[in-house]
Amino acid sequence: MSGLRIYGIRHHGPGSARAVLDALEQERPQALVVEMPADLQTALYQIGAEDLQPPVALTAYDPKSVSTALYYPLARFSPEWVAMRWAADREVTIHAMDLPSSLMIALSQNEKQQLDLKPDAKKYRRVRRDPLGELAKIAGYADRERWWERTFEIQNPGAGIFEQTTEMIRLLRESYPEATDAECKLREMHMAKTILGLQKQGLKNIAVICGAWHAPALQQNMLAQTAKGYAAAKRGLKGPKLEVTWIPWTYERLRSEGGYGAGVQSPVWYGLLFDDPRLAPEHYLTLMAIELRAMGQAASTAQVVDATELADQLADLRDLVLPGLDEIQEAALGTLAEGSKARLEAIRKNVESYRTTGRVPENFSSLPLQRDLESRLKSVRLLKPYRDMERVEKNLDLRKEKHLQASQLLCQLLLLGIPFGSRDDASLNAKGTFKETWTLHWHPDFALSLLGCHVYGTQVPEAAAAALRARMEEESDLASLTKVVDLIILAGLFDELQDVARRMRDQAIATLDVWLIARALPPLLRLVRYDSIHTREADFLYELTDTLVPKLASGLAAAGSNVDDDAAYDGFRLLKLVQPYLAMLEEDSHLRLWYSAVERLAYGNKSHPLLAGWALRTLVDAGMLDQVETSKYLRLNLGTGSALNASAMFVEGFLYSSALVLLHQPMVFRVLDAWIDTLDPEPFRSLLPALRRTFSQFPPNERRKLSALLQKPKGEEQLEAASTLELSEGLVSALRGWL
Amino acid sequence: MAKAKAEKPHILRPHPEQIYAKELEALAKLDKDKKPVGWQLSPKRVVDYLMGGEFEHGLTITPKYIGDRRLMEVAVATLTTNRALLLAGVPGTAKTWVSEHLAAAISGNSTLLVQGTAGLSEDALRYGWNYAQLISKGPSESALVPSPVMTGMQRGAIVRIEELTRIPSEVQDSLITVLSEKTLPVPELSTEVQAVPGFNLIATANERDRGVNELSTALRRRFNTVVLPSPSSLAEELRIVRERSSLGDRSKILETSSAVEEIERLITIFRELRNGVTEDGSTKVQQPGSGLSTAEAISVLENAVSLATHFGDGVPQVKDFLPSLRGAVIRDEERDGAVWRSYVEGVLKERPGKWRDWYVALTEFGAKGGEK
Repeated sequence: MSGLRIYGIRHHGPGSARAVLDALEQERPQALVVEMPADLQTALYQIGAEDLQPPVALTAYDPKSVSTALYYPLARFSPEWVAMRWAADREVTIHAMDLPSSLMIALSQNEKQQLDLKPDAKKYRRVRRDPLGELAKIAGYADRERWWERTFEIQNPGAGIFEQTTEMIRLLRESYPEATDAECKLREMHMAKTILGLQKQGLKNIAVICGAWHAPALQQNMLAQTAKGYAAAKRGLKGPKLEVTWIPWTYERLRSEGGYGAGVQSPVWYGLLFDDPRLAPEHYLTLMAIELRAMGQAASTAQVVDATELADQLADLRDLVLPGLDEIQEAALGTLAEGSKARLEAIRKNVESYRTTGRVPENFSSLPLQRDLESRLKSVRLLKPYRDMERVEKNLDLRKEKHLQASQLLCQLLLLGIPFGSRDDASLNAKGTFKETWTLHWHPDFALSLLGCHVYGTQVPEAAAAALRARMEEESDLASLTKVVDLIILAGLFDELQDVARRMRDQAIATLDVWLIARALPPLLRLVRYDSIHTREADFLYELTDTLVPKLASGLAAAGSNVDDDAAYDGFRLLKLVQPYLAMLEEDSHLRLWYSAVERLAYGNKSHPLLAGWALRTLVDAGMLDQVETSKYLRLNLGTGSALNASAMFVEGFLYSSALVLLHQPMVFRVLDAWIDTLDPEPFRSLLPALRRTFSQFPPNERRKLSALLQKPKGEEQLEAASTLELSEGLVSALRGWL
Repeated sequence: MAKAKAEKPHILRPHPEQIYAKELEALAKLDKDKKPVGWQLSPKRVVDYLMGGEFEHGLTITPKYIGDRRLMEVAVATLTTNRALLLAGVPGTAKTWVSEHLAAAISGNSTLLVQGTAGLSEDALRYGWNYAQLISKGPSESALVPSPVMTGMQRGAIVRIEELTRIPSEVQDSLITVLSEKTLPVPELSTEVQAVPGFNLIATANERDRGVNELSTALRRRFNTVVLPSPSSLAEELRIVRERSSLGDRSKILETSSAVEEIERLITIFRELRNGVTEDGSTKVQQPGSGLSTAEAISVLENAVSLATHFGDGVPQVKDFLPSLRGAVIRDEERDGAVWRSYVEGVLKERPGKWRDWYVALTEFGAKGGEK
């Protein structure tokens, strides 16, 4: 017998892992060969590092396009991991034998085209990717996991298993010759070539760990034949140069998809199976009980005992040596979960999320962006939550330099699509602008996202800015750009403002919708006003207002005419927001332009009454109309009958924000009072909702004064006798009701 | 089912161990697996008896439970452990049916039964006294009147408790010692009855009634709960309805294609209202307060066949289904009535083909007398 041992395994199979370990202990090979791309070899030297804690994934990626990447996840129960750790501990050399990753990528790109051409290709591919699934079908199992688990994982079959499976696969390969397609052949050529090369170097006792499918082709007597024709087959194949790194992986990702095509239904269960298959059922049920208690529910040891017994009985009934995950769950459903499937699901979920993240030593990282992030996190003292991957809450006081930087860094990560922190916006509103509350939770998947961000740059702020620019290319309308302005300020990427301002100007010139401009202006003007940035940097913002304000002014009257009520209310909200900023403009020409626009809106025949009312009031507040004129226009706009509704909206617009005008301008008050008094009870009732809406938003002290005013129609106000109006008792009491 | 009925004695409803005596005997004959002490069949054969199928030597077993085999495996496995079995589920999901057959297959006897009611006393679960004897001779074994539970313990048999949650909690708790220590003390005689192997309890509980007398935690821990679901698919439910309706000779009618189609429509209506969504999953449907169980669908069908036999040509028509269908759906006129009308107008109205007849008949029925 030659010294070549081929161990055909199931990736992530705990039973395989145990069998491999037994075999290695017995055979003590000089060299270990694994099914990993040959160009990942350098990373394999790091496998023995103590801080490298599974689950981790060996990742080969194209630095130019990170979406092109290969992942090789390894859990502590993966046969490859177990074997490589075994080798590293004993200074046995480890060799990667699979086709180099760049060629794999080239192949997978080719394969996509081929798959579309050949109708049966998918089936063969399935057979090859999952030969054991095929065997399971032959054995009469619908579910390959269940069959494999029962046949190999739970019962430790010892080293003899490898010869049996190899023989089974050999027969399977003979029955499905098409399943070993060109890609598979090329890979096996490389594998065989590598093994032959090692043997040429004089290594005799070699252990090879590979997917069960490849095992028959790599037997000693097949090697030469398998290796033949490699050079010819790979001709013309060219892929990108890939870089290699270790990244932490999670059980969650291991479950959803496996880099090997073999997903893992329950990594926790597999871990337990790997530790000791006989104890795994009760161990798993105990974990469930612990989780139940953590959820605040009762779970006694007696229940675990009962559930274990039931699982055993079920296994017996089904001719199994030991209960599998199915039996455990069925047993737990009636006992621990008390018959509730929802409860069982909740327990399972908690058990499965149990301590599941891997770790990669710091010095392993060769990713510039990651290194940059780590150094920045360190400088703002956020390295610990990043390392521990635990959820923490953090209060930031933006008046402190470090805290400001931390907040900006977190915002930059958000721009990169990495939600390390999420800001509690409620706290933001409540405490003003300098205090922020963040919830920090680093997820191992973010390492992958970070990998993807290398296209944007190698430093966090630079990359965030680039991501921002890419986003602006996609969403270039004025509303999105306005949001971008906020993001820029939060992330402290002030260099980007100029670009945004330019885009906004272009958009503003092109847009016909003045409401969009009205929406864009407040954040810009806030910036200019409140010195978030240095005046020098704000220059171009002033220039931007040079474009936006005239544009808004010129379109305002038209935008406020011939619109329906909904549109008018939308506009009303925006105008209320933007007016305070516009009122503070320092440029006289801007102010003149703006107020003449407001005048046109106020007096325009076709202006919507709500907006006309707002405009009139704005002019009053700006001191551009005196009492007499105000009363005149107000009276003009108050009608009865069919115009009643319009009048009510006019009043709503006119009285927006405060009742001061009524308190300080008796004439105006009288006009309004008289109008209400002319109304018959029926139309008055229909007006009530609108009026109530108007009055209820006044500040309490204004309401109090108004109320007093209404109570004394003939008192202190010295109303002229001729226009003294009696307020009906009913009306007074109705009004007082809301005041 | 039909085969076994040939020798049916003149009893309205014989026990399963009587109806299926031959099946049980045949299964026992080919049973080579290990039987738990006190069991008539091995657990595997019990599951076979429930699920039915074809076996060696041309043995055909009629299915008793139509649904997930795994559930029955859990139920049977439970009875081999320390725990008792609690069959839970909404009304009409075959809880009692399953418990009867389990007892028949395991102990050969399904008659050790306690019917749970709000007025049940502890005597019914433990033991009572023959007062004439008690007074004349004082407490003695002969004056003791054992309950089915006590009898089951002595014989090593399965005891059934129907509607466990209707029994007052204090009374329920007298089962705790029985289940955990497998003994029933009789302090009056300074003695006790210790259960022999083969004894266990099967209780049924209605999930909708859960609030009535919730099981105490202590008692719940001694039961393993198996929830029997409503049938998962239309085909499965159709099978149940056809197998389970007790129409005797008239069951041939159901083979005619027009009847099969109408039954399918009837079950579709039941399922859609019960699940709150149409069978194709495209439209949401409001659910009435009534349970709309498979058992009720069966009774609607039986009713329709009765109407057709006595007043029609024997094949149930759309109109024969309507009176009892409406009664099954509408429990509370105000709430369910609106739900039913919106289902008829919103869902049935749009359906093509034969569904048209249902819609027309339903609206006419409603207009004529259905709505009073």
